[in-house]
Amino acid sequence: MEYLLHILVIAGIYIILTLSLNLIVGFTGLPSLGHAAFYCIGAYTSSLLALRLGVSPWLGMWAGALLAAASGLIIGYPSVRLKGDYLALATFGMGVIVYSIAKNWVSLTRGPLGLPGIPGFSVFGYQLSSPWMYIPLVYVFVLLTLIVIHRITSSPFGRVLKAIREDETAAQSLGKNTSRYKLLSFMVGAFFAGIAGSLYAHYITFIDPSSFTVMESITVLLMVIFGGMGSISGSIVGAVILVVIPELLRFVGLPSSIAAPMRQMLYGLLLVLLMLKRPQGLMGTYRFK
Amino acid sequence: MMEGKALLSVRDLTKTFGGLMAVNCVSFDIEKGTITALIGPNGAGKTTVINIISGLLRATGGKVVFKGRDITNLPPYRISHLGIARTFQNIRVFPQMTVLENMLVATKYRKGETLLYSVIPDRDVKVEDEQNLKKALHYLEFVGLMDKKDEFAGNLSHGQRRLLELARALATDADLLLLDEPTAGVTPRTRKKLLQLFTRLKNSGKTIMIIEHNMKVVRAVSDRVIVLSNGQKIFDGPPDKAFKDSRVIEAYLGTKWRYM
Repeated sequence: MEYLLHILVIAGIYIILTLSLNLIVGFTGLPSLGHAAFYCIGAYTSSLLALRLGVSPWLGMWAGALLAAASGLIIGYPSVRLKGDYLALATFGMGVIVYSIAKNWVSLTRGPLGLPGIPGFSVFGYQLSSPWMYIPLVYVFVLLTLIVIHRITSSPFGRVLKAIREDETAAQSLGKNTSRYKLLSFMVGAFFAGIAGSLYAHYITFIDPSSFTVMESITVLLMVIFGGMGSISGSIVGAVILVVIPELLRFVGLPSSIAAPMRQMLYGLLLVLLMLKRPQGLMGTYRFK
Repeated sequence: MMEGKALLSVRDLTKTFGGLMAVNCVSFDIEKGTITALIGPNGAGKTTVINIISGLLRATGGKVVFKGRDITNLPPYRISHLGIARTFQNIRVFPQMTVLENMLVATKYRKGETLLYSVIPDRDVKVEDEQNLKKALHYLEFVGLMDKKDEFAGNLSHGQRRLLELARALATDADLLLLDEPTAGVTPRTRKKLLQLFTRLKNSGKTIMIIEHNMKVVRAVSDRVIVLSNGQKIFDGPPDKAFKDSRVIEAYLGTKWRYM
């Protein structure tokens, strides 16, 4: 039971990550391969604030999210001027840089040793410790993310984002400052990834750089594509399915040395099948151009 | 001398791509409420001129003045805000958005398109929404696409996309429309309809500059013709004179034909 609840908490965190990346990739059409960078910044900021300065996770989380958004601005400013593949490469580079900083700035992050003993969230002085206590907390933030992203994408602002995805040149000549919109989309996505990072860190109570590799960015991107780019329900479905399916493998009784590579292979197989049978994703309507 | 009156003045406009002189010292004025045709053989630099005016390309030299204001090399969105809209030779509608959404993107929002008010409900945004919807529907009615409003733009026929692109340009409230081959590849019926629309727009005070290859169209709607060849302006005057001008004939048909 404990285990099942744990999977639910992790799924919730991935829903937030997937929704926030979908805003950037699916709605605005910006290929981003560096989402784990913002997740990482959120996790480390809020953990370090709690460990070094005793800041409450409730505050640390917003600090992490804001810092992630700010780094989204710094990294996004030069990047949004790039198009297509070049933007993908730039965001990939950003993912590598943030990972390297987490790994090599030992005096701050303890490098590969990671940060153990991160305090959990507390409510009215009561420390949350088990998965079932984290479920309401995480899902409140899932709901918040869902509402904000839904409102953004169904507003005139979101319509401009979609127009940029469809044809940036046309959007520009219709009077839209597309660089600005792209940057804002990037920052909002980064903000929620920061929140997800902080939730993850305080829930697991231990983080190290290996959770924030480029592979992590790609996993979240897979969830977006799997569920359907530009589809909010798709992000939820994609995140849940890709979190749950590898867990099912545990029950097949394979030794762990085989189970881990099997998981990667299963991901790959699922994606190949999906791209052949349903290129717009499970719930999506938007196809690759 | 004419600069005070003209809506748009282009002065010594020059654009080079590497060693290629795409536009070479082109100057002209466009008066308010007129239709000017910009014609010339392929590669003459017509689209380049429109791209520079609308801000998609930077000029190498020269000046573009609109409503008395220097707009040379401003970003495209600023130029759009000042009142210039354009359509594209290779149509650029937003295919995976509905016709109505295409129109609404073009309308102006003061608050609704800001990030803050996309999240926070606000009464002003509702008012903007209603006004813009009315405007979008008005222009859809104008081009006759009302019955297609909920269709994805990608599912429209070629001619309908041309009409949508025109309606979308109008929804920006532009005073000057730059139309890049708006009748290319459409059926004769749609072409006739477009011509009527151009005339109606002109009569309502809009100014139009149109790149066109079909000489019947040029004759039918334009008050004035500017002919470009190899990046240079070789003729500027009324349409009936343009087709008799020896330099224009030469540019289109070569020197041999002059003696026929």
